[in-house]
Amino acid sequence: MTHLTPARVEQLLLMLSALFIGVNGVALALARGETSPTYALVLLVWGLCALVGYAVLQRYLPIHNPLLFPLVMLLSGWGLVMIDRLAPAFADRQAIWLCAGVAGMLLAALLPQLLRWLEVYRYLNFVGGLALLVGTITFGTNPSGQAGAPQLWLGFAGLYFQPSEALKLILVAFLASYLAEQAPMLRSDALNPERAHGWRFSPRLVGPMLLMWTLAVIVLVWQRDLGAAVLFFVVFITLVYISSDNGWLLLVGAALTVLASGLAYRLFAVVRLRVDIWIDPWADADGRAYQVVQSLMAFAAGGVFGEGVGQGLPTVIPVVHSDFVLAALAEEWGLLGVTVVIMCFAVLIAQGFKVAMMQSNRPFYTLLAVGISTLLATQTLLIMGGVLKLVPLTGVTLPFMSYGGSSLLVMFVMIGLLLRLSAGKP
Amino acid sequence: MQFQQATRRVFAAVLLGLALVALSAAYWAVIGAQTLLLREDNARLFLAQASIVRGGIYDRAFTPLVISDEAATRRYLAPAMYSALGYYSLRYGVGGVEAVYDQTLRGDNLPRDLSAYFATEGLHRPQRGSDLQLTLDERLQTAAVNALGSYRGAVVLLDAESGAVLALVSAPSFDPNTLDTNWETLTAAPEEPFFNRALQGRYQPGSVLQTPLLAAALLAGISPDQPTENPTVPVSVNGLTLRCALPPDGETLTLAQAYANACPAPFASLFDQVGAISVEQMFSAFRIGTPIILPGFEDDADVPLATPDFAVFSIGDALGQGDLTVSPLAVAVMTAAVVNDGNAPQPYLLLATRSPGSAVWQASNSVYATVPIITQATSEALRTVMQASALRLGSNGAGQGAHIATAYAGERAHAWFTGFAPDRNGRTIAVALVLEDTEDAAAAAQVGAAVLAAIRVG
Repeated sequence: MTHLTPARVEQLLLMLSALFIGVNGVALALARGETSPTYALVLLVWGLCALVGYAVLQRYLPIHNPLLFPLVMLLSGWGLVMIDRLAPAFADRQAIWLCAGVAGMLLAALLPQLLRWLEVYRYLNFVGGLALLVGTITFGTNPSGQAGAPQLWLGFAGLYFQPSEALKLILVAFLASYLAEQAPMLRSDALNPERAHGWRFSPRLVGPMLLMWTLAVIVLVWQRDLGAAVLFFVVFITLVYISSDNGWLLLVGAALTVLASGLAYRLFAVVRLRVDIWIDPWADADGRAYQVVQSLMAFAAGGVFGEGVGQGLPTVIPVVHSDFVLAALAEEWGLLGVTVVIMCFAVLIAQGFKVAMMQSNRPFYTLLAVGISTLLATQTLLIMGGVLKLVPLTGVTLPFMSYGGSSLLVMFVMIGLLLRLSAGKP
Repeated sequence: MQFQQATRRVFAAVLLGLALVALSAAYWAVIGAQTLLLREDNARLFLAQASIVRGGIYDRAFTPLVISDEAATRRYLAPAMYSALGYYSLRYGVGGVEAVYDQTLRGDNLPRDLSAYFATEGLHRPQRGSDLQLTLDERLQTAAVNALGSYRGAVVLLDAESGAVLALVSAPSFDPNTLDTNWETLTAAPEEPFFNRALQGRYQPGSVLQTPLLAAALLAGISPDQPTENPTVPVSVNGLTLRCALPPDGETLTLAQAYANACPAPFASLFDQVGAISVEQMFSAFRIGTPIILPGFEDDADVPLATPDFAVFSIGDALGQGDLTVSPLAVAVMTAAVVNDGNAPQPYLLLATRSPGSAVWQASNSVYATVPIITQATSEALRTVMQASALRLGSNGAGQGAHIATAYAGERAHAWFTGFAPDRNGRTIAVALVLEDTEDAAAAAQVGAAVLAAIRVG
């Protein structure tokens, strides 16, 4: 009986993932009745990434959380199969971004000074992020080329990068660093009985919050990137809450959210549209709410066991390969598949929080891990909720599974950071 | 650990959120699924309908008439058959034979065992329907269509003994292969190409009713060879002036000769001689005015058939210019009764079905009883008269009978032909045809002769 070392666990999980991806790959080829060389190549690339990632991690970072890498490889591989099924033209591009992602992950996990750099140069990082944001406002385009679509991408030589994805990570790092420093004061402020009559919150506390709120509003207004704005704000509130352990902040944050949402609803037609179709999609099922209605229908059509890969009709959903990939998964792998995906994400997020908990007395590392996990969790909940009509659609994608190179790259880098943090003291 | 409690709470909130998502997915997948999937905008329903591979339709000699290929595209192969079979359209539905046997053709009435369930739900194989073998004869149908030419009207051919429908022509018709593109034009067309004149047409019978009138006369003991008084005199009835359909050779005619020329005057005096009640009873026996329906079809004529009414049965009704209307199928059955020793067969279309994937045709085990109309002796006498009439019309075959007729309906006139002939296999086939908007009985006779000739040869 071989001893189950973490390395062995990781190995077994990766092989299981490979088996799953392989079987589904073959099933898809059979269902389609044909196969293209790029398709086999894409799956091979995935296998190579898994192999290389595992080997490099074992060599240079032998102690690390064994569940993180297999989980994200499973999710990204499943995503590759889905993208090939839904929009075969994009599969090879996603595979390229997967390679970039794994490379980024390895860099993040292995670069010795990265964590320190994130902690120390927080303002520089923040300004850099803002510069990217300004750059996107100025030079941004949309890969679809549609007039009036949000110009959120920076394009170069056919590859498009969405800076708001990187901004998410930069922001989390900034907040983690800043709040790690300010945490003791935040806590004492809340507990200080002398401040019972005056303003309960010092400017030091309120200042950054308002700054973030303003930033979110700017992002919203200029970019019409509703999802990123919501994400920024939720992560920010969560991190401030955790670092200050002050429940009032949650309330203030909620109030600000309501205020911002109300303003947004009144001012922006896009927001109005999304909230209207969330409340009653059946009223305009052929028109504006078509996407959501068809998404729910895909869940219904999948039933418990699904129709089988390549044998459903998820392609009636517009943009199914990016935002609505979960609906396609629900139709073809059924409730069983959706449950497995939810559990994968639950375990992944749990590992992130576990990594956070084991960072004894290193507040920056704790907050960084928490921030990454919260970011992952919030984005996952937002898109899953949106697809199931639990919350309005926000335009974020399902991490690792949706088509979207920038998102994949940044998510892998975040996993790399978690891996680094899970290795313990350097 | 300073952040532990808050972190735990946040993680709990995340798990709660994920649990909500899972529950919501379960709701839509299981509970809300039924209502959602039945919605009109569920493209899967349409796809499922469109992918059904319908069964093929074959004629009695197993000539393929309609075939659906693996891509579920349906092709109608024999242009002569277009009017007999109806249509199938994904968008506009089914009509005619396709509608009557729709369930069989779709495979809805096949046993749903476990392997069938696995094939459709598991392997997503398309549903297949059963094939049909009809009683129609493609060669006879083609001949009938060619004989009818450019006339509007209908032709029906029946096996007189069994009632099997050998040909069913309605003109004008339409091309079911191009139905979807031409739907708007076809439904708006004034000549109503979807209307199956052979089955649904309700025409004024006119001198067609001379056959049952003659039967009534024979029953009353009147001989067909007796001379008639003033046979060529025109008869006024219901505002119309009726004359002989064919101008006779001389001025003196026997009853049989008057029948051959379809002269109304002798039959008007027959009505007086025999009496309204006897005529009406004979008409009832022949079921004039009762719809004759093929099994599975509906009687969907616009005008409900009138039935003989003792109180007001008049000379007009007896001469076929009253309220009674007939369909060409009914006239064919009437002639078949004359041929079949006085027993009218029940016409039918379906011979056998074949399950998908099977090589065995299963005969439709419906048994259709004949309806006794007249005695054998009367029918024999009628046959003799009809054979003489056929000779008068210029036919040169043994065992053939014929009768022409004209009818008037308001401004319009129709020309009828009914007859019988033996085919090569010894079956006697009854014919009925009507030409719309013409009182040229000679034209009807020509068409009829061509059809009889085709029967003899085929």
